[in-house]
Amino acid sequence: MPVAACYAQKDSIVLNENNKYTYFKVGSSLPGINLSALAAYLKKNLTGLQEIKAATQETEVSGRGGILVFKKGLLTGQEEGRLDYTVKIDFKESKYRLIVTNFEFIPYQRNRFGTFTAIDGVTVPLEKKDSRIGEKQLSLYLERAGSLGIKANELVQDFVNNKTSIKPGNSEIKKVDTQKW
Amino acid sequence: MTKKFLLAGALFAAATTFVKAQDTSKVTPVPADPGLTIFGSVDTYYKMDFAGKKNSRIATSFANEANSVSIGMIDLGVKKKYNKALFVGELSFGPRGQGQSIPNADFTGGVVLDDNGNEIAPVVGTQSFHIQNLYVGYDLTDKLNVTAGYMSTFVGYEVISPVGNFNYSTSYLFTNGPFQNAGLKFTYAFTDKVSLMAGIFNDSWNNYTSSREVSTFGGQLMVSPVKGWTAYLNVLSGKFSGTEFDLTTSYQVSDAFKLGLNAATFSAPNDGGGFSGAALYPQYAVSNAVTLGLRAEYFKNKGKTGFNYSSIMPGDDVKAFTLTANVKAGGLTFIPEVRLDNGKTGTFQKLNGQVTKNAGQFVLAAVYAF
Repeated sequence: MPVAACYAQKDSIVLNENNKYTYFKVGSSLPGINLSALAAYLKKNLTGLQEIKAATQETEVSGRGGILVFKKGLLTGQEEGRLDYTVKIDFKESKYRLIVTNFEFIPYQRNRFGTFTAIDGVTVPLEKKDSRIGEKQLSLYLERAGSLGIKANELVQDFVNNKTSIKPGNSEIKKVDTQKW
Repeated sequence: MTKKFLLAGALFAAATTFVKAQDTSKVTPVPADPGLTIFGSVDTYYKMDFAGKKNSRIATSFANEANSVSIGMIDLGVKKKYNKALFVGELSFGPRGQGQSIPNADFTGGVVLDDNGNEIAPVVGTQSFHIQNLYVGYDLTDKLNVTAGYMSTFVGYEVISPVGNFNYSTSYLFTNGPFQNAGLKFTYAFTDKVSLMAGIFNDSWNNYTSSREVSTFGGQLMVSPVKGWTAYLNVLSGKFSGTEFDLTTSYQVSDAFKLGLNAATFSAPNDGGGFSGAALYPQYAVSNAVTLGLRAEYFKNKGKTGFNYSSIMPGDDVKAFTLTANVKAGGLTFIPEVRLDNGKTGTFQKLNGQVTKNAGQFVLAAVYAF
Protein backbone atom coordinates (compact mmCIF):
# COMPACT_ATOMS: atom_id res chain seq x y z
CA MET A 1 0.00 0.00 0.00
CA PRO A 2 2.62 2.60 0.86
CA VAL A 3 4.56 1.68 -2.28
CA ALA A 4 1.54 2.26 -4.50
CA ALA A 5 0.75 5.53 -2.74
CA CYS A 6 4.33 6.73 -3.15
CA TYR A 7 4.20 6.13 -6.90
CA ALA A 8 0.90 8.02 -7.02
CA GLN A 9 2.50 11.01 -5.31
CA LYS A 10 5.48 11.01 -7.64
CA ASP A 11 3.29 10.54 -10.72
CA SER A 12 1.14 13.52 -9.78
CA ILE A 13 4.09 15.76 -10.66
CA VAL A 14 4.47 16.32 -14.40
CA LEU A 15 6.32 18.75 -16.64
CA ASN A 16 4.32 21.76 -17.76
CA GLU A 17 4.52 23.67 -21.07
CA ASN A 18 7.65 25.44 -19.79
CA ASN A 19 9.27 22.11 -18.86
CA LYS A 20 8.92 22.76 -15.15
CA TYR A 21 7.82 20.07 -12.75
CA THR A 22 4.30 20.98 -11.72
CA TYR A 23 1.39 19.75 -9.64
CA PHE A 24 -1.76 20.87 -11.45
CA LYS A 25 -5.36 20.37 -10.39
CA VAL A 26 -8.70 21.88 -11.38
CA GLY A 27 -11.72 21.52 -9.10
CA SER A 28 -15.14 22.94 -8.48
CA SER A 29 -15.68 25.73 -6.01
CA LEU A 30 -18.58 27.44 -4.34
CA PRO A 31 -18.88 31.13 -5.34
CA GLY A 32 -17.76 33.99 -3.11
CA ILE A 33 -14.75 32.40 -1.51
CA ASN A 34 -12.96 34.59 1.01
CA LEU A 35 -9.48 34.51 -0.51
CA SER A 36 -7.74 36.18 2.42
CA ALA A 37 -9.17 33.52 4.70
CA LEU A 38 -8.06 30.83 2.25
CA ALA A 39 -4.54 32.28 2.28
CA ALA A 40 -4.51 32.24 6.10
CA TYR A 41 -5.88 28.69 6.13
CA LEU A 42 -3.14 27.47 3.79
CA LYS A 43 -0.45 29.35 5.73
CA LYS A 44 -1.54 27.54 8.86
CA ASN A 45 -1.88 24.07 7.38
CA LEU A 46 0.43 23.63 4.39
CA THR A 47 3.92 22.44 5.30
CA GLY A 48 6.65 25.01 4.85
CA LEU A 49 4.50 27.75 3.36
CA GLN A 50 6.38 30.94 4.19
CA GLU A 51 4.28 33.63 2.61
CA ILE A 52 0.98 33.71 0.79
CA LYS A 53 -1.48 36.45 -0.07
CA ALA A 54 -4.65 37.11 -1.96
CA ALA A 55 -4.25 39.32 -5.02
CA THR A 56 -6.23 42.55 -5.12
CA GLN A 57 -8.55 41.48 -7.94
CA GLU A 58 -9.77 38.67 -5.70
CA THR A 59 -9.36 35.90 -8.22
CA GLU A 60 -5.93 34.70 -7.21
CA VAL A 61 -3.99 33.50 -4.18
CA SER A 62 -0.25 33.03 -4.54
CA GLY A 63 2.68 32.27 -2.27
CA ARG A 64 5.97 30.48 -1.80
CA GLY A 65 7.51 28.07 0.65
CA GLY A 66 10.00 25.28 1.20
CA ILE A 67 10.00 21.80 2.69
CA LEU A 68 12.91 19.91 4.20
CA VAL A 69 14.12 16.89 2.28
CA PHE A 70 16.16 14.35 4.16
CA LYS A 71 17.52 10.84 4.30
CA LYS A 72 15.44 8.81 6.69
CA GLY A 73 16.45 5.56 8.35
CA LEU A 74 14.58 3.51 10.89
CA LEU A 75 15.54 5.67 13.84
CA THR A 76 17.56 8.53 12.47
CA GLY A 77 17.61 10.93 9.56
CA GLN A 78 19.71 13.73 8.13
CA GLU A 79 18.76 16.84 6.18
CA GLU A 80 19.88 16.85 2.55
CA GLY A 81 18.41 20.22 1.74
CA ARG A 82 15.29 22.22 1.15
CA LEU A 83 12.82 21.99 -1.70
CA ASP A 84 11.46 25.45 -2.43
CA TYR A 85 8.17 25.84 -4.31
CA THR A 86 5.57 28.37 -5.38
CA VAL A 87 1.84 27.88 -5.08
CA LYS A 88 -0.94 29.67 -6.99
CA ILE A 89 -4.71 29.26 -6.94
CA ASP A 90 -6.91 31.00 -9.54
CA PHE A 91 -10.70 31.20 -9.44
CA LYS A 92 -13.24 31.63 -12.23
CA GLU A 93 -16.74 30.35 -13.05
CA SER A 94 -17.22 28.32 -9.88
CA LYS A 95 -13.98 26.44 -10.26
CA TYR A 96 -10.39 26.76 -9.13
CA ARG A 97 -6.99 25.95 -10.63
CA LEU A 98 -4.15 24.93 -8.28
CA ILE A 99 -0.57 25.11 -9.48
CA VAL A 100 2.37 24.08 -7.31
CA THR A 101 5.60 24.53 -9.27
CA ASN A 102 9.10 26.08 -9.44
CA PHE A 103 10.58 23.26 -7.37
CA GLU A 104 14.18 24.17 -6.53
CA PHE A 105 16.59 22.12 -4.45
CA ILE A 106 18.82 24.06 -2.05
CA PRO A 107 21.47 21.67 -0.72
CA TYR A 108 22.32 21.82 2.99
CA GLN A 109 25.64 21.26 4.71
CA ARG A 110 26.59 20.84 8.33
CA ASN A 111 27.70 24.08 9.92
CA ARG A 112 29.98 24.74 12.89
CA PHE A 113 27.11 24.47 15.36
CA GLY A 114 26.19 20.92 14.34
CA THR A 115 23.03 21.98 12.54
CA PHE A 116 22.35 21.88 8.81
CA THR A 117 21.97 25.06 6.76
CA ALA A 118 21.82 26.04 3.10
CA ILE A 119 25.01 26.28 1.07
CA ASP A 120 25.25 29.92 0.00
CA GLY A 121 24.27 30.64 -3.55
CA VAL A 122 23.56 27.07 -4.68
CA THR A 123 20.10 26.44 -6.14
CA VAL A 124 19.25 23.54 -8.43
CA PRO A 125 15.88 23.54 -10.26
CA LEU A 126 14.65 19.94 -10.16
CA GLU A 127 14.22 19.78 -13.93
CA LYS A 128 17.85 20.85 -14.37
CA LYS A 129 19.26 18.39 -11.88
CA ASP A 130 23.04 18.19 -11.77
CA SER A 131 25.57 16.08 -9.91
CA ARG A 132 24.20 17.32 -6.59
CA ILE A 133 21.01 15.32 -7.16
CA GLY A 134 21.20 11.60 -7.97
CA GLU A 135 18.41 9.62 -9.65
CA LYS A 136 17.30 8.15 -6.33
CA GLN A 137 17.20 11.60 -4.73
CA LEU A 138 15.25 13.08 -7.64
CA SER A 139 12.68 10.31 -7.33
CA LEU A 140 12.36 10.98 -3.60
CA TYR A 141 12.05 14.74 -4.11
CA LEU A 142 9.38 14.32 -6.78
CA GLU A 143 7.53 12.07 -4.37
CA ARG A 144 7.73 14.74 -1.66
CA ALA A 145 6.64 17.39 -4.18
CA GLY A 146 3.70 15.22 -5.20
CA SER A 147 2.76 14.66 -1.59
CA LEU A 148 2.85 18.42 -1.03
CA GLY A 149 0.67 19.07 -4.09
CA ILE A 150 -1.91 16.48 -3.04
CA LYS A 151 -2.03 17.93 0.45
CA ALA A 152 -2.41 21.46 -0.94
CA ASN A 153 -5.28 20.32 -3.13
CA GLU A 154 -6.98 18.58 -0.20
CA LEU A 155 -6.77 21.80 1.80
CA VAL A 156 -8.07 23.96 -1.04
CA GLN A 157 -10.90 21.51 -1.77
CA ASP A 158 -11.93 21.42 1.87
CA PHE A 159 -11.92 25.18 2.10
CA VAL A 160 -13.65 26.15 -1.16
CA ASN A 161 -16.47 23.67 -0.66
CA ASN A 162 -17.13 24.60 2.93
CA LYS A 163 -19.91 27.19 3.36
CA THR A 164 -18.22 28.72 6.38
CA SER A 165 -15.42 29.90 4.11
CA ILE A 166 -17.77 32.00 1.97
CA LYS A 167 -17.84 35.75 2.49
CA PRO A 168 -21.18 36.70 3.97
CA GLY A 169 -23.14 38.97 1.62
CA ASN A 170 -25.23 41.83 3.00
CA SER A 171 -28.45 39.86 2.49
CA GLU A 172 -27.15 37.08 4.67
CA ILE A 173 -26.42 39.26 7.71
CA LYS A 174 -29.11 38.79 10.26
CA LYS A 175 -30.21 41.98 11.99
CA VAL A 176 -32.72 42.70 14.63
CA ASP A 177 -34.64 45.92 15.24
CA THR A 178 -34.74 46.30 19.00
CA GLN A 179 -37.33 49.12 18.77
CA LYS A 180 -39.95 46.67 17.57
CA TRP A 181 -41.22 44.74 20.48
CA MET B 1 0.05 -28.54 -2.22
CA THR B 2 -0.85 -27.17 -5.61
CA LYS B 3 -4.08 -25.83 -4.11
CA LYS B 4 -2.07 -24.01 -1.42
CA PHE B 5 0.12 -22.37 -4.09
CA LEU B 6 -2.95 -21.38 -6.08
CA LEU B 7 -4.61 -19.98 -2.98
CA ALA B 8 -1.49 -18.07 -2.03
CA GLY B 9 -1.20 -16.77 -5.58
CA ALA B 10 -4.83 -15.71 -5.61
CA LEU B 11 -4.44 -13.92 -2.29
CA PHE B 12 -1.30 -12.14 -3.51
CA ALA B 13 -3.05 -11.11 -6.74
CA ALA B 14 -6.05 -9.88 -4.77
CA ALA B 15 -3.82 -7.93 -2.43
CA THR B 16 -1.94 -6.38 -5.34
CA THR B 17 -5.18 -5.44 -7.07
CA PHE B 18 -6.44 -3.95 -3.83
CA VAL B 19 -3.30 -1.90 -3.50
CA LYS B 20 -3.59 -0.59 -7.04
CA ALA B 21 -7.27 0.13 -6.54
CA GLN B 22 -6.60 2.41 -3.58
CA ASP B 23 -7.49 6.05 -3.84
CA THR B 24 -4.32 7.39 -5.38
CA SER B 25 -5.01 10.87 -4.09
CA LYS B 26 -4.33 9.75 -0.52
CA VAL B 27 -1.11 11.17 0.83
CA THR B 28 1.45 8.95 2.46
CA PRO B 29 2.34 10.92 5.57
CA VAL B 30 5.81 12.36 5.24
CA PRO B 31 7.52 13.31 8.49
CA ALA B 32 8.12 17.05 8.70
CA ASP B 33 11.60 16.65 10.15
CA PRO B 34 14.30 13.99 10.01
CA GLY B 35 14.01 13.12 13.70
CA LEU B 36 17.22 12.30 15.51
CA THR B 37 20.22 13.20 13.35
CA ILE B 38 23.60 11.53 13.72
CA PHE B 39 26.55 13.17 12.00
CA GLY B 40 30.29 13.20 12.17
CA SER B 41 33.61 12.68 10.47
CA VAL B 42 36.90 10.84 10.58
CA ASP B 43 40.18 12.29 9.32
CA THR B 44 43.74 11.13 8.90
CA TYR B 45 46.78 12.64 7.17
CA TYR B 46 50.39 12.36 6.11
CA LYS B 47 52.59 15.42 6.39
CA MET B 48 56.04 16.04 4.97
CA ASP B 49 58.09 18.99 6.15
CA PHE B 50 60.24 20.38 3.31
CA ALA B 51 63.19 20.92 5.64
CA GLY B 52 62.93 17.40 7.02
CA LYS B 53 62.21 18.63 10.51
CA LYS B 54 60.31 16.26 12.73
CA ASN B 55 58.80 18.96 14.87
CA SER B 56 56.23 21.10 13.16
CA ARG B 57 57.73 24.41 12.07
CA ILE B 58 54.46 26.05 11.12
CA ALA B 59 52.73 26.51 14.41
CA THR B 60 49.11 26.75 13.31
CA SER B 61 46.54 24.26 14.53
CA PHE B 62 46.27 20.61 13.52
CA ALA B 63 48.22 18.64 10.90
CA ASN B 64 51.21 19.33 13.09
CA GLU B 65 52.97 15.98 13.12
CA ALA B 66 55.61 16.04 10.40
CA ASN B 67 56.99 13.04 8.50
CA SER B 68 54.28 10.88 9.91
CA VAL B 69 50.99 9.26 9.08
CA SER B 70 48.81 10.69 11.83
CA ILE B 71 45.22 11.02 12.86
CA GLY B 72 42.92 13.96 13.33
CA MET B 73 39.82 12.89 15.18
CA ILE B 74 36.64 10.93 15.09
CA ASP B 75 33.80 13.34 15.53
CA LEU B 76 30.36 12.11 16.57
CA GLY B 77 27.36 14.36 16.90
CA VAL B 78 23.66 14.01 17.57
CA LYS B 79 21.00 16.62 16.95
CA LYS B 80 17.28 16.67 17.46
CA LYS B 81 14.77 19.41 16.88
CA TYR B 82 11.20 18.82 17.93
CA ASN B 83 8.80 21.66 17.28
CA LYS B 84 10.63 24.68 18.68
CA ALA B 85 13.17 22.93 20.89
CA LEU B 86 16.62 21.83 19.75
CA PHE B 87 19.61 20.10 21.27
CA VAL B 88 23.04 19.39 19.80
CA GLY B 89 25.74 17.22 21.37
CA GLU B 90 29.03 16.69 19.55
CA LEU B 91 31.97 14.70 20.90
CA SER B 92 35.41 14.31 19.39
CA PHE B 93 38.13 11.79 20.11
CA GLY B 94 41.67 12.14 18.85
CA PRO B 95 44.34 14.84 18.92
CA ARG B 96 42.50 17.32 16.67
CA GLY B 97 39.37 17.19 18.77
CA GLN B 98 41.00 16.91 22.15
CA GLY B 99 44.45 18.15 23.19
CA GLN B 100 44.94 20.29 20.08
CA SER B 101 41.68 22.17 20.35
CA ILE B 102 40.34 21.85 23.88
CA PRO B 103 42.68 23.55 26.33
CA ASN B 104 41.51 21.71 29.43
CA ALA B 105 41.80 18.36 27.71
CA ASP B 106 42.85 15.25 29.51
CA PHE B 107 46.56 15.10 30.28
CA THR B 108 48.40 12.04 31.47
CA GLY B 109 51.40 13.15 33.42
CA GLY B 110 52.63 9.80 34.67
CA VAL B 111 51.33 6.81 36.55
CA VAL B 112 50.07 6.07 40.04
CA LEU B 113 52.21 3.48 41.80
CA ASP B 114 51.14 1.09 44.56
CA ASP B 115 53.21 0.44 47.70
CA ASN B 116 55.34 -2.06 45.80
CA GLY B 117 56.09 0.36 42.99
CA ASN B 118 53.74 -1.22 40.47
CA GLU B 119 51.80 0.93 38.02
CA ILE B 120 48.13 0.83 38.85
CA ALA B 121 46.59 3.81 37.01
CA PRO B 122 47.51 6.78 34.87
CA VAL B 123 47.66 10.20 36.44
CA VAL B 124 44.86 12.33 35.12
CA GLY B 125 45.78 15.98 35.13
CA THR B 126 42.58 17.74 34.22
CA GLN B 127 39.16 16.70 33.06
CA SER B 128 38.24 16.17 29.45
CA PHE B 129 34.76 15.68 28.10
CA HIS B 130 35.77 15.72 24.40
CA ILE B 131 32.99 18.20 23.72
CA GLN B 132 32.81 20.34 20.59
CA ASN B 133 29.19 21.40 20.94
CA LEU B 134 26.75 20.90 23.77
CA TYR B 135 23.82 23.25 23.78
CA VAL B 136 20.09 23.63 23.70
CA GLY B 137 18.02 26.08 21.69
CA TYR B 138 14.45 27.27 21.55
CA ASP B 139 12.51 29.30 18.98
CA LEU B 140 10.78 31.92 21.10
CA THR B 141 9.01 33.23 17.98
CA ASP B 142 9.33 32.67 14.23
CA LYS B 143 12.12 35.25 14.24
CA LEU B 144 13.70 35.05 17.69
CA ASN B 145 15.81 32.14 18.91
CA VAL B 146 17.66 31.58 22.17
CA THR B 147 20.60 29.21 22.57
CA ALA B 148 22.56 28.26 25.68
CA GLY B 149 25.50 25.98 26.37
CA TYR B 150 28.97 25.35 24.97
CA MET B 151 29.12 26.16 21.28
CA SER B 152 31.57 26.48 18.45
CA THR B 153 32.55 30.10 18.21
CA PHE B 154 30.66 32.32 15.82
CA VAL B 155 33.90 34.18 15.05
CA GLY B 156 36.10 33.45 12.04
CA TYR B 157 36.17 31.63 8.72
CA GLU B 158 37.67 28.29 9.72
CA VAL B 159 36.48 25.70 12.23
CA ILE B 160 37.82 22.72 14.17
CA SER B 161 35.96 20.11 12.14
CA PRO B 162 37.87 19.23 8.96
CA VAL B 163 34.50 18.93 7.20
CA GLY B 164 33.90 22.66 7.61
CA ASN B 165 37.23 23.77 6.11
CA PHE B 166 38.50 23.69 2.54
CA ASN B 167 42.18 23.66 3.52
CA TYR B 168 43.39 20.94 5.88
CA SER B 169 46.00 23.03 7.69
CA THR B 170 44.59 26.09 9.38
CA SER B 171 45.18 29.82 9.26
CA TYR B 172 46.98 31.94 11.84
CA LEU B 173 43.76 33.87 12.37
CA PHE B 174 41.92 30.65 13.24
CA THR B 175 44.62 29.29 15.54
CA ASN B 176 44.82 32.47 17.57
CA GLY B 177 41.13 33.28 17.68
CA PRO B 178 38.48 31.58 19.80
CA PHE B 179 37.46 27.97 19.13
CA GLN B 180 34.45 27.75 21.38
CA ASN B 181 32.39 29.98 23.63
CA ALA B 182 30.11 28.97 26.45
CA GLY B 183 27.21 31.30 27.05
CA LEU B 184 23.72 32.43 26.24
CA LYS B 185 22.81 34.08 22.96
CA PHE B 186 19.72 35.47 21.25
CA THR B 187 19.40 35.62 17.47
CA TYR B 188 16.78 37.74 15.76
CA ALA B 189 16.14 37.23 12.05
CA PHE B 190 14.74 40.46 10.57
CA THR B 191 14.45 38.70 7.21
CA ASP B 192 16.26 35.76 5.65
CA LYS B 193 18.84 38.33 4.52
CA VAL B 194 19.53 40.13 7.81
CA SER B 195 19.91 38.80 11.33
CA LEU B 196 21.45 40.01 14.56
CA MET B 197 22.89 37.94 17.39
CA ALA B 198 23.77 39.20 20.84
CA GLY B 199 24.97 37.12 23.73
CA ILE B 200 26.85 36.96 26.96
CA PHE B 201 29.63 34.42 27.33
CA ASN B 202 32.12 33.10 29.87
CA ASP B 203 35.08 35.36 30.58
CA SER B 204 37.59 33.02 28.93
CA TRP B 205 37.44 31.39 25.52
CA ASN B 206 37.39 27.64 24.93
CA ASN B 207 36.49 26.61 28.47
CA TYR B 208 33.41 24.90 29.78
CA THR B 209 33.46 27.06 32.89
CA SER B 210 34.25 30.70 33.49
CA SER B 211 37.40 31.73 35.32
CA ARG B 212 35.60 34.43 37.26
CA GLU B 213 32.31 35.46 35.69
CA VAL B 214 30.10 35.50 32.63
CA SER B 215 31.23 38.84 31.24
CA THR B 216 32.30 38.55 27.60
CA PHE B 217 29.90 40.21 25.17
CA GLY B 218 29.43 38.70 21.76
CA GLY B 219 27.57 40.08 18.78
CA GLN B 220 27.11 39.15 15.15
CA LEU B 221 25.41 40.97 12.31
CA MET B 222 24.66 38.78 9.30
CA VAL B 223 23.76 40.34 5.99
CA SER B 224 23.19 38.69 2.65
CA PRO B 225 22.98 41.57 0.16
CA VAL B 226 22.70 39.40 -2.95
CA LYS B 227 22.11 35.72 -3.62
CA GLY B 228 25.23 33.75 -2.82
CA TRP B 229 26.92 36.48 -0.80
CA THR B 230 26.84 36.35 2.98
CA ALA B 231 28.83 38.51 5.37
CA TYR B 232 29.22 38.26 9.14
CA LEU B 233 30.46 41.14 11.25
CA ASN B 234 31.52 39.74 14.60
CA VAL B 235 32.66 41.18 17.89
CA LEU B 236 33.74 39.38 21.04
CA SER B 237 34.76 41.64 23.88
CA GLY B 238 35.48 41.13 27.55
CA LYS B 239 37.57 42.59 30.33
CA PHE B 240 39.43 39.32 30.79
CA SER B 241 39.27 37.82 27.29
CA GLY B 242 40.22 40.87 25.24
CA THR B 243 38.43 42.21 22.18
CA GLU B 244 38.28 40.74 18.70
CA PHE B 245 36.57 42.31 15.70
CA ASP B 246 36.11 39.95 12.79
CA LEU B 247 34.71 40.03 9.27
CA THR B 248 33.92 36.71 7.65
CA THR B 249 32.37 36.68 4.21
CA SER B 250 32.03 34.48 1.17
CA TYR B 251 30.53 34.97 -2.26
CA GLN B 252 29.60 32.23 -4.69
CA VAL B 253 30.40 34.31 -7.75
CA SER B 254 29.41 31.59 -10.24
CA ASP B 255 28.64 27.88 -10.13
CA ALA B 256 32.36 27.18 -10.23
CA PHE B 257 33.99 30.15 -8.49
CA LYS B 258 33.74 31.08 -4.83
CA LEU B 259 35.61 33.82 -3.02
CA GLY B 260 35.98 34.02 0.75
CA LEU B 261 37.55 36.63 3.00
CA ASN B 262 38.41 36.74 6.69
CA ALA B 263 39.84 39.81 8.39
CA ALA B 264 40.26 40.27 12.12
CA THR B 265 42.01 42.30 14.76
CA PHE B 266 42.48 41.27 18.36
CA SER B 267 43.53 43.35 21.34
CA ALA B 268 44.59 41.39 24.40
CA PRO B 269 43.42 42.63 27.80
CA ASN B 270 45.54 45.08 29.82
CA ASP B 271 47.39 46.41 26.74
CA GLY B 272 48.90 42.99 26.26
CA GLY B 273 49.38 43.27 22.53
CA GLY B 274 47.32 41.36 20.04
CA PHE B 275 47.24 40.46 16.37
CA SER B 276 45.62 41.43 13.14
CA GLY B 277 45.44 39.87 9.73
CA ALA B 278 43.46 38.94 6.66
CA ALA B 279 43.06 35.84 4.55
CA LEU B 280 41.63 35.47 1.06
CA TYR B 281 40.11 32.17 -0.08
CA PRO B 282 39.53 31.87 -3.84
CA GLN B 283 38.21 28.43 -4.89
CA TYR B 284 37.46 27.08 -8.34
CA ALA B 285 35.63 23.86 -9.16
CA VAL B 286 37.35 22.33 -12.17
CA SER B 287 34.88 19.44 -12.25
CA ASN B 288 32.07 18.01 -10.16
CA ALA B 289 34.58 16.07 -8.08
CA VAL B 290 37.61 18.36 -7.99
CA THR B 291 37.95 21.87 -6.58
CA LEU B 292 41.17 23.85 -6.34
CA GLY B 293 41.64 26.58 -3.77
CA LEU B 294 44.21 28.99 -2.45
CA ARG B 295 44.48 30.54 0.97
CA ALA B 296 46.60 33.69 1.00
CA GLU B 297 47.07 35.06 4.49
CA TYR B 298 48.84 37.98 6.10
CA PHE B 299 49.18 37.89 9.89
CA LYS B 300 50.88 40.36 12.21
CA ASN B 301 51.69 40.29 15.90
CA LYS B 302 50.69 43.80 16.99
CA GLY B 303 52.57 43.68 20.28
CA LYS B 304 55.86 45.41 20.95
CA THR B 305 56.88 42.96 23.61
CA GLY B 306 55.43 39.90 25.21
CA PHE B 307 53.30 37.12 23.81
CA ASN B 308 54.03 35.14 20.63
CA TYR B 309 51.13 34.09 18.43
CA SER B 310 51.87 30.77 16.66
CA SER B 311 55.60 31.52 17.08
CA ILE B 312 55.19 34.93 15.44
CA MET B 313 57.06 37.27 17.73
CA PRO B 314 55.92 40.77 18.74
CA GLY B 315 56.30 43.17 15.84
CA ASP B 316 56.77 40.36 13.30
CA ASP B 317 54.48 39.29 10.56
CA VAL B 318 54.07 36.33 8.25
CA LYS B 319 52.64 35.68 4.79
CA ALA B 320 51.28 32.20 4.21
CA PHE B 321 50.14 30.65 0.93
CA THR B 322 48.34 27.31 0.89
CA LEU B 323 47.35 25.63 -2.37
CA THR B 324 44.79 22.91 -1.78
CA ALA B 325 42.70 20.50 -3.80
CA ASN B 326 39.51 18.80 -2.64
CA VAL B 327 38.89 15.54 -4.49
CA LYS B 328 35.55 13.99 -3.62
CA ALA B 329 34.83 10.29 -3.86
CA GLY B 330 31.50 9.51 -2.22
CA GLY B 331 31.64 10.50 1.43
CA LEU B 332 35.42 10.69 1.27
CA THR B 333 37.40 13.82 0.43
CA PHE B 334 41.11 13.63 -0.38
CA ILE B 335 42.96 16.84 0.39
CA PRO B 336 46.45 17.27 -1.07
CA GLU B 337 47.97 20.57 0.00
CA VAL B 338 51.19 22.52 -0.37
CA ARG B 339 51.89 25.34 2.06
CA LEU B 340 54.65 27.98 2.02
CA ASP B 341 55.04 30.47 4.86
CA ASN B 342 57.33 33.47 4.78
CA GLY B 343 58.12 35.36 7.99
CA LYS B 344 59.46 38.87 8.29
CA THR B 345 62.35 37.69 10.42
CA GLY B 346 63.70 34.28 11.37
CA THR B 347 60.45 32.77 12.50
CA PHE B 348 61.20 29.21 11.48
CA GLN B 349 64.06 26.75 11.92
CA LYS B 350 66.17 24.76 9.51
CA LEU B 351 67.06 21.13 10.13
CA ASN B 352 70.35 22.24 11.71
CA GLY B 353 68.55 24.58 14.08
CA GLN B 354 69.48 27.83 12.33
CA VAL B 355 66.68 30.31 11.91
CA THR B 356 65.13 31.01 8.53
CA LYS B 357 62.35 33.15 7.12
CA ASN B 358 60.71 30.33 5.22
CA ALA B 359 58.93 27.09 5.97
CA GLY B 360 57.06 24.73 3.71
CA GLN B 361 55.13 21.51 3.96
CA PHE B 362 53.08 19.02 1.99
CA VAL B 363 49.98 17.36 3.45
CA LEU B 364 47.79 14.62 2.09
CA ALA B 365 44.67 14.21 4.17
CA ALA B 366 41.57 12.08 3.86
CA VAL B 367 38.31 13.12 5.50
CA TYR B 368 35.19 11.00 5.63
CA ALA B 369 32.00 12.83 6.54
CA PHE B 370 28.64 11.36 7.37
